[in-house]
Amino acid sequence: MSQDMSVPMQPSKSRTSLRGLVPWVVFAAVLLLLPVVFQGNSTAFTLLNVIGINIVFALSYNMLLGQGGMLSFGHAVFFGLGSYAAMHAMIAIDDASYAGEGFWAHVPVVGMPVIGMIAGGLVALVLGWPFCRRAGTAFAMITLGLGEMVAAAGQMFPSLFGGEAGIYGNRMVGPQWFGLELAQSDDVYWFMAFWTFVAVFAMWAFTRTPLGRMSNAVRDNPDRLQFIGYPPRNIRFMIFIASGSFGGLAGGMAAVNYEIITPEALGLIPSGLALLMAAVGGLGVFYGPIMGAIVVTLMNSMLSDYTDASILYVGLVFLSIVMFAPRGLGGGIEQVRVAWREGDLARRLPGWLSGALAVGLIIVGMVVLVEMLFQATHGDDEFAQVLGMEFDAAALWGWLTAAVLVVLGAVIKRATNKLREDQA
Amino acid sequence: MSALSIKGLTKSFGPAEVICGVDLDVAENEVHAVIGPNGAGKSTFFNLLSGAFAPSGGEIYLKGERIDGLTPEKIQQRGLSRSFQVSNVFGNLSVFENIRCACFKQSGAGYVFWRSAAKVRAANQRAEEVLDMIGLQALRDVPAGALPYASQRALEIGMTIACGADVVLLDEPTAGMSNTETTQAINLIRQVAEGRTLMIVEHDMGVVFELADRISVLVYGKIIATGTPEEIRNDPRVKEAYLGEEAA
Repeated sequence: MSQDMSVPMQPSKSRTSLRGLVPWVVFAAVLLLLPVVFQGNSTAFTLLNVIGINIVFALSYNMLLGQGGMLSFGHAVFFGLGSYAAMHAMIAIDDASYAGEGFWAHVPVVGMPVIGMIAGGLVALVLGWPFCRRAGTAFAMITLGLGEMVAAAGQMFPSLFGGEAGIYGNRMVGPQWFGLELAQSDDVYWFMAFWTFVAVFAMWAFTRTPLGRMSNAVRDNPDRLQFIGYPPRNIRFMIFIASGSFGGLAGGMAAVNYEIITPEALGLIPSGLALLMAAVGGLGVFYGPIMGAIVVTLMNSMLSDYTDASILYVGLVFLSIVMFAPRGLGGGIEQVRVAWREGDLARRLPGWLSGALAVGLIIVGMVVLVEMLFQATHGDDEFAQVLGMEFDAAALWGWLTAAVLVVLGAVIKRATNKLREDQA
Repeated sequence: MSALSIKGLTKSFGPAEVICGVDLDVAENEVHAVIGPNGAGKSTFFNLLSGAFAPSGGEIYLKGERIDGLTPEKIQQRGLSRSFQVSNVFGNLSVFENIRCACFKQSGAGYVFWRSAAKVRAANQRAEEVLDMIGLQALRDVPAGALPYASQRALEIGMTIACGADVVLLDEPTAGMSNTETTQAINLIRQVAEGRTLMIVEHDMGVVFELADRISVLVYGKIIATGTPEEIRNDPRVKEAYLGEEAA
């Protein structure tokens, strides 16, 4: 039967695999073109390098949450320990190349993500088994405990973790590969671009393997999995190791980028960042966490130039995504794409646009409110600035504007919900 | 040798004994139906056989090998698989993917992460065959959770046989179906029964009498009669305990 089927299916198969190549060509082209666009702009390269790290970090986290259904609050453990391992390796390279002999003298710094990956995978292998018995709340609590425990241990063993100051190394040591001196951030960029591409591709390929499919199965229905012959715990454990490995790889990238690592990198805040990026981008779509990593990294680093309340706004964005677009940015794009394919876009677009407008108005209203509150409490003599407009906390009209924006947004949101219900 | 041999099987939940000493032999390639009034312990019985619950006492032999107290996946690996009364599928995966996941065990591919799933030929081929058999080729890319009810039931059966088991337990495969759907389901079950040992829990007497080689009647955790459909139909104890009640 397969013989008959495979002959006529051959052309269509090769066509789909060619089409499947398109995103990767685009991805590679973007990575190659970015340096041209930002030539000479070292701030941009610094930011791009952080985005690369965060893309890998967020995607590795989504292997757990989005694909395996395991909500983790301790993913930074793998990132951080991977980073520490890579940093120690870098220090070893430094020492060995000073002496001019030994194994480490021949290891290039561009290979550090491999060290991070091995470390992350090993940690997951050693620690993971007891965690993977249950998903859900039990898993979330255990990983939370793990994260805090490892972060605390980081302070307790200064010879390994360097105490509060952390440990630091030098990336311009050892053999140079591909002529990468790694001196400036635009040089580091090529290192980042390469590893980001490799890691993203590897994690995408993972979703296509039998284990990748089984991880979706364990997410959807762990009980049924037993009855098709697989213990959910084994599958979860393997996902855990894979996710830890790629988390460690991101840590290795970070070690080279920052040349310093502190025990803070193991704790709850970076773990929360992984969740934030994945959720903002969308857990159900492969490229979702990539978008989330880009958006959240940009917000984190750029908003602080404009306002003191930047962290609050990141939280606000997270809240509104969870409330109004629970499938994240990627999920939204997929929704539009499906509607487009089914010729349903014209009918549904007004609802989506007015919904977006409503959320936008609410957010702007909230921002005005927050900025004025900041001004009022801090007694800044500068005016609160939002979208080029200046607001004065002492004047009533500013508060009124904020209230009107929020109320207007809420009204439009209600109308939109009604419209969608009528359509459905 | 019997495909399934059950000796003195008991199960208690606290003080309540739900299965109280069941003895049963199911021959190879037999279609054996278990009937009984609501609350007789039919589902519990299946849960014991498939390892969802551990028995409180007694022994279960699958093709001569003792399986009581083993985990569901161990029992599945020894060649017994089951379907569920309430559809129990991987809701976000496509129909094809549901079946293919169930096929991985036979190819030993479930843990493979170094090869594309599309390259596991045996599993893909088997999944196509099962899809053809359950008649869901046209719906292969639909997420299983979005399937119409009857199709979900068919998928449920498809996943059960996709694992390659030769002893198959079907828990109320036609519950909640229309007449046409039931007829289709009966045809499917006939196909499933070919070369396999089948145990069915079913409420629809028409389905039972049409399909079963032998029937066991389970009442309050005990099998009160086992025999051919004809024998069961004429058994006075069964009439009293079960059919009589239904008619009344």
